[in-house]
Amino acid sequence: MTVLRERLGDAVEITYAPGVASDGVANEASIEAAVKSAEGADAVIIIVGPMTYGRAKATTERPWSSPAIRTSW
Amino acid sequence: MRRLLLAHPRSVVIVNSGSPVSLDWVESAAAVIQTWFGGQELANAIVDVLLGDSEPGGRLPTTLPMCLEHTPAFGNFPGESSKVRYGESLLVGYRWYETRRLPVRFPFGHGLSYTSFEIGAPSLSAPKLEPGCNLSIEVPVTNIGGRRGAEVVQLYVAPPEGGRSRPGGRFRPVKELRAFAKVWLDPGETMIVSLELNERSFAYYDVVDTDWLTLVDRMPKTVFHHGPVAGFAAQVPAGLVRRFGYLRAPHRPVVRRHQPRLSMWKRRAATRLFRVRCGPCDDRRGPADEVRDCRLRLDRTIDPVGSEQPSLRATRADSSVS
Repeated sequence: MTVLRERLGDAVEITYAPGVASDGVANEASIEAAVKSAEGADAVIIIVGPMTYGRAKATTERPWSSPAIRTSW
Repeated sequence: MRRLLLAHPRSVVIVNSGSPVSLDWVESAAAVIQTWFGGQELANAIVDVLLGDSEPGGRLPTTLPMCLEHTPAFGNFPGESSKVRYGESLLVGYRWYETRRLPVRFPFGHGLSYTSFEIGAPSLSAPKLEPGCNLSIEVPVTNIGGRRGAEVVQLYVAPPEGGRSRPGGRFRPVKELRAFAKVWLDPGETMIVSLELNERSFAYYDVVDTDWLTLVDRMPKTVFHHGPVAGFAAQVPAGLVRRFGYLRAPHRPVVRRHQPRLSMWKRRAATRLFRVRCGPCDDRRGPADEVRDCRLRLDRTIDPVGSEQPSLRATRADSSVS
């Protein structure tokens, strides 16, 4: 977010919604807020993945699937 | 994720993971950036790519599977009873998916660019690979897009019979990466990419013969084909540009050195580390070291032809005991 704001300047409005929490628990209200924010945007950037490398290592039993999905933009 | 992608078609998904993750929503995304773990400059790098200041020139070092059940680790990892079975055998990574003809989400070596490339027909420096010589494959690569970009030309070698075993043969992957080159090209620029292959490019180590062999040792009158020289700049997997050429493999073993066959006992004796208890044998050591465990490497002398019991001599750096 910080880098995007620095590069794009004030001419571009950037909104952020956390989406799914870092613990992987789905919060319907938070997801709904993210969806509404996306619907009104010109472009959407979604970031997903484990929060830390340690979390990723903890999921090596299923390396293709991350139980903790963080969604934000 | 599906709700988000449905809410806005112009969504770019940044996958920040250190290993393949499920991408069953990928068809709905406008673009996907796989960042791996880029470190403290990751944010700047992502923004550079998003804004078009940098070329996303990376290529996948692994295959992104369609589903969990397709992966070679499925059923083998984490194993049972504290034992992991490497059931994929030789089919490590992309070899697994290629040999078993499994559909994949994104293949090994895939990556897009902000520009487009055209890969021409490859030409061989010689129609036949002579023993001890190299074979050059030259491929013209042209940037047909509107901006400067990078392309990675990948050269795979495939054995005859598509890797399937036949009597007297060895099971091999259907293709293996043997050479690649990354080139940066301006718009309209064409570069001849030269990739080198040698005898080892067509060889494999046979653990039974304990030697490097080519498949034609066991399957004469067959030819290797090299390919695909793959340009992954187009859509996946339909954009896998396949270029096939043919060359004749050497009709003799790549490396054939005389090596007598040793019994299993002798092989083990040649490499075993012995743990023995020994008395004081070093003046530089004190009385407290009278009895100690020492790891001694076996100094092996074996008659190459022999049936004689090998003479064994255990040595330490500063002394020896027989």
